[in-house]
Amino acid sequence: MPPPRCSRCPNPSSLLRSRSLLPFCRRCFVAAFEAETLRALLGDPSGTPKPGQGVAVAASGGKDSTVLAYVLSRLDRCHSLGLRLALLAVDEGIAGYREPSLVALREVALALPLPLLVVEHRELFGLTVDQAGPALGGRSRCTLCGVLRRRAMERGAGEMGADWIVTGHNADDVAETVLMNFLRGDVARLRRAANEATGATNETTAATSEFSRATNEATGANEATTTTSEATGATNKANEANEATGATKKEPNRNPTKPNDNSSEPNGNPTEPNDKSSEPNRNPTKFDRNSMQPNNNSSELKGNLRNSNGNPTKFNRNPRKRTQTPPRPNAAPPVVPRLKPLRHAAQREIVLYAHFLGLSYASSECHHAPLAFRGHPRALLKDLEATRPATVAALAHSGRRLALGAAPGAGEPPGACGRCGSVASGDLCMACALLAALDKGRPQLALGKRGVRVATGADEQWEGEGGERGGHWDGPRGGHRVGGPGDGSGGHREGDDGHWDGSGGHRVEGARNGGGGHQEGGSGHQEGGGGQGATGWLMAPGLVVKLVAMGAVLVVTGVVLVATGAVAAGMVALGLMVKLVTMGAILVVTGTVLVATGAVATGPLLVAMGPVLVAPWARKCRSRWFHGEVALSGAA
Amino acid sequence: MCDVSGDGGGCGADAEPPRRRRAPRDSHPRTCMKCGQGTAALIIRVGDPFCRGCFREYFVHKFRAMLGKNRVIFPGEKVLLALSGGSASSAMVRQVQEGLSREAAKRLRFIPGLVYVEEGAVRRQSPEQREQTLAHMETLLRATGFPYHVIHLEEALELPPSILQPGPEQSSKSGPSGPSYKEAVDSFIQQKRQEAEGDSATPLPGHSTQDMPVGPPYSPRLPDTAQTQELLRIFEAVETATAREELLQMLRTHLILQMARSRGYSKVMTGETCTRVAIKLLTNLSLGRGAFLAVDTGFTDKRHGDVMVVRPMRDYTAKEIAFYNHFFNIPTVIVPPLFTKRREKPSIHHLIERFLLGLQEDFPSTISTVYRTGEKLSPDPAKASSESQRCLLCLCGLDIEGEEELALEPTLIWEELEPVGNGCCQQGAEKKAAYIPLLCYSCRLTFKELGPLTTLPPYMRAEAQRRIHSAEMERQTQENQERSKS
Repeated sequence: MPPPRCSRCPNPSSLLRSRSLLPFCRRCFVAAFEAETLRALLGDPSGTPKPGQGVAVAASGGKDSTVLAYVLSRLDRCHSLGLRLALLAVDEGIAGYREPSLVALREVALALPLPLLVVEHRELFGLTVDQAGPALGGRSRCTLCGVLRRRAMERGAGEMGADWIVTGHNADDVAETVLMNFLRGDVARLRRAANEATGATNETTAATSEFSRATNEATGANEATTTTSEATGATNKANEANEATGATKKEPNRNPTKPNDNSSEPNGNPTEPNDKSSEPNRNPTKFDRNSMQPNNNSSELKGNLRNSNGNPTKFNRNPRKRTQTPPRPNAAPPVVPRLKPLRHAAQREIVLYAHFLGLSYASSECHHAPLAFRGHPRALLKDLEATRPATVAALAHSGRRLALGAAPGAGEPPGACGRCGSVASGDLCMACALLAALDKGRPQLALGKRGVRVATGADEQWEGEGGERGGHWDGPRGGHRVGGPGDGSGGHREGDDGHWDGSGGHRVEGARNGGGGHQEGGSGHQEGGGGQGATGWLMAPGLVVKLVAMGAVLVVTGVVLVATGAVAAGMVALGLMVKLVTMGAILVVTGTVLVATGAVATGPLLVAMGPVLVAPWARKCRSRWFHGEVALSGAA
Repeated sequence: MCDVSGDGGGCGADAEPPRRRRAPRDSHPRTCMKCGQGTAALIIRVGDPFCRGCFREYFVHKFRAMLGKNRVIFPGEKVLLALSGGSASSAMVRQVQEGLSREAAKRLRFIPGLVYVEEGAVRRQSPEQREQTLAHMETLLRATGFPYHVIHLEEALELPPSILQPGPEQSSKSGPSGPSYKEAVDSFIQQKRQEAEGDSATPLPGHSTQDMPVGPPYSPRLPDTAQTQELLRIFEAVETATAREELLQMLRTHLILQMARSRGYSKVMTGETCTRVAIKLLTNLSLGRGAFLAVDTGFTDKRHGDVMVVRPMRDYTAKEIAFYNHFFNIPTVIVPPLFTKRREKPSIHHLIERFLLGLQEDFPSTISTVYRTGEKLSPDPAKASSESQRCLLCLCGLDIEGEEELALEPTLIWEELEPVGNGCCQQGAEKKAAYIPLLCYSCRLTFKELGPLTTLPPYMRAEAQRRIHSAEMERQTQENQERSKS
């Protein structure tokens, strides 16, 4: 029996379209598919990319993203959309799965040709999914992987200066998600999806346009500055609030406010920081007066540390206060809005499109995937689709129409994560909560309701003395911590972080001189009291590494706090520090260096102008983590 | 998996067999967790063993609590119980019986009637089998002592088009608001007292105010063969099992509704269990009825206006019902399922049922999770602002507004596909595509599979004609007005 004729032209048809069940020939199908993608891209209720805007294609090397990248670059050319397209990939570190797909992706990038940025989990978070997997067990590892991947994607897009992220989610994915969320009873997610699609359309467009404006401003070298100034303001406010809570704090605690005031200025003018840096130094020196002695005598330091830790009520009161008064330290930073131009395309048609055009893509399956709950709804969807192809679209329609009402507190703008500053629904963003819980060796808890409590340190019973801690510094950390046996000191270490937290304001400004230009480095501000108003990533570590690799010199003015691997703003991971130093970076630190775990140097390359405080337990693990000496040129 | 992850920590946890309670060292049966005395007869949930007596109490209490909590059934109201002969609806009828026979203070105070829809024609039963089932059902119906009605599915062919319009809502009794319910209760008690004073010999409870004889003189006679053939023709023209299932549900609902309206019942009780509700939720989600899940499965369903559908059994799991029926010898009648054609894909209903019950084995909280998710939905989107905004078939408000064109594409009918040369499509004023604007998203999908218009049940066609016509008229008057203005 000959195939029926194409419904658009006299040629014999090659397929029946999923959406209309009409016969199409190859040519007409390809044309229709592209036209629909364009309609979906330009008809998105949440906003559309304008000419000249940067669009990051979230690419994995799989069929969806490959087809998306191809179609978008083709549409961009044919319809002169004027988009700045680039590929953005995340390397989660899954052996046997990610490498081949990245290889495929590099070929795609070469063929199109589009620039490609690969962001690595290991680099951003200091751990890979393969490492975290065993600790997390079955399905949880896919949750972690997903959460971190989204975060990595956001950061990558920010680094690229993209205004939009487009993802290759197809109609099947959308339907599957609806089914899965319904099966799991995830009302919050169902509601979010429904509201995004219908009710709150106006709101979202407004928000996204704002976002895009913000991102526009933030592109290029401005990025750090805008965010910094905003963040500083917020931090100051947070500090005031901190003081206002009535916790009587003395000198060290007031410190953070001062450098912050200063820091907003130097940001405006890159030449100034050197002059200014002497000023903020005053604060450290003041602070040093307390700590200089202990440095000469480690036992005294110990006593001192104990002392400040022995005032648990002081530090303790703060975090608790914070939980009572809703934190919302600052508004969430601009989020790169996401689009799904393939949301109406059936998976089957995407495969056919790739087949007809001879696109090659990676199709390996992640070896963690069989553990994901998603497998169940996926199998069901395949059956449903077989009996009625329109079910895929119907499920998506249902998902958009679910009458779940407005979310509690829907009117408020999303808050920022207390640790990394990105958008979060609670005190901490999901990524930070997961990572923190993972660090504590209680990964399962991270997925439950107590996740955030564990992460913020409100979970006192378990913490023991560590309960006094703000839970602030044990941020992204090296993968070596995961499930490692030698972690006995973990609680201890973390417990004392509260001390570092409360003891002063720390600021790092990186000045990059190598390339001739001046780059505002990771300029962050931190203050005591358990995580009020973290400033956020001001510069992604990936970029710092690249800059340093290019020969930049990182000048750090202010106090560097290296507590369990976090430099200054708690943002630069241990891995980064080590990487920088081993790459031959010269870290010039003009302020105090506090080394909690001995995270800094693997070579004599840290040049510290100020005193270096090495916590006693850091010396203990010296044999494990110290491979070199810290050269001290300051008043150590 | 395990060899990759190295330690197998995660996989080990997965591969672990489902947690089982250790059997007690001595094999004495466990005692009831409620009274602590009786021997446990069944375990309702994990770790909750109940003895027979306590289980019965628990079961009865659940039913009364459901009605008492929702306060939608007023005393003295006529309530039609939809009985299919299956386990859930049979248990429901037994609950009503027990409730009515209780001592005065706690007695249920509505007036029940039963309705049974006989569907043997589409369930591939021979006339003899149908007679047999019918006779069996009749004995059960008569045994309840309530007035009852038997409807044959064939009667759907004679339904009036008005069944597709919501009836006038009774304003005084509509809301489940406290005062009006209280007033109704008070006035009912007053009335009862007066009756008692007037006539000391009060007739049996439940039968006092009924306006028809107990058990109408009904001889089990099947409808004409011609009608059966006609009905089968309609069902056979339906292209998919999914649409056939939907059509059967639609016809059944309409028949029950018609019976309630003509006999003055203001409430219809159906026996959907928690398990059934969960299946229906997921099925309707897959059918595209996301907006209407709350009315489709909720405790009350007010879309028909004058007659409210109530689902009092939705708190019971299928397991509870099965044990109740088993322990207390509730008779049920089992009928074969809806026929399917050879080489036909299973219906969405069937797939979802199989999937959910299968998943329930591995994840025992699946059904209750789905059920609870459904509880959080609001019935608001189902309210239609006007006739033109109401779906022809399901009577819910259209859920098309604001939807992207691309998303609606699968619901459209492509007329140009049909061979134009024939002339027959030109001639017929009725076009399938003309029905589409009258329907909601999911009814569009179902309607597309219902087969040619000629095999649609007559009342649907008549109502659709009227709606299309009135829409046309409205457009014309608007055009005229505009013309006269210019």
